[in-house]
Amino acid sequence: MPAMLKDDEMTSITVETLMKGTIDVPEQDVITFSQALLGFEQRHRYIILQTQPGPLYWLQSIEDPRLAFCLLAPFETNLDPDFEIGRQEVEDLQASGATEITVYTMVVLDRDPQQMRTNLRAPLLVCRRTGLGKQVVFTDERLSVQFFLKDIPQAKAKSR
Amino acid sequence: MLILTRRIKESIVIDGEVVVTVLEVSGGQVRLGIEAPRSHSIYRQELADAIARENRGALATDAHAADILSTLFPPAKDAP
Repeated sequence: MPAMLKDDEMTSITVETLMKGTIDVPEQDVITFSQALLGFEQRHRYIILQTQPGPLYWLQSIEDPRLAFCLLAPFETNLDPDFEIGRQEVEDLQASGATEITVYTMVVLDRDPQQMRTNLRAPLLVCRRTGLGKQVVFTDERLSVQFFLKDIPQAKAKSR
Repeated sequence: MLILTRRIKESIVIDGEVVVTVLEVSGGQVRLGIEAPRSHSIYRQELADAIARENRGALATDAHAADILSTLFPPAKDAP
């Protein structure tokens, strides 16, 4: 049996999702959070989905279809937060450097747009290549746990 | 829960690599010094609770709220 699989032989897995129903995704798209998200200690494996263009994403558990978190990619907006991604974070994700890490923040949905907010203190760091993710807790107290989206300059996606 | 009594300047060691020292006790407050490798993430319980609360709040339970949210970030017109 050959040790290497060709590209077209990559295994895909079937995932039941909240936003897109049942979909097939390449197995290498699965992100493992070995330290689970705070409050969700039983769930470790997720995929990241998008339902529309823009800086919003969904973190979908592949173990529980009902578990989908709303994410913001803050660097795709005018927010530009001061995140310090150091050697420890790079090492935790087995990344080759900080440039390989994608940052997402958790978005709290609310019927009142004024209350929509995101947590800049504890973002998710993801390395797509290694398939590892981690919710970090930054020590910088200036980063707000509740940053209101209405306070993003222009509150619009960065134009490309 | 393990309960230990310590005096000022006395420490406890966890797993041979984390050292927690009582620095000061005054009124109802205790100041602790913590020495640990960088791989340990250390924060107050209140912050952990707040993060867990915001994580729960980020769960997509309300499709209507998700629609409102998407209006905050309309798709760029000149998207490729």
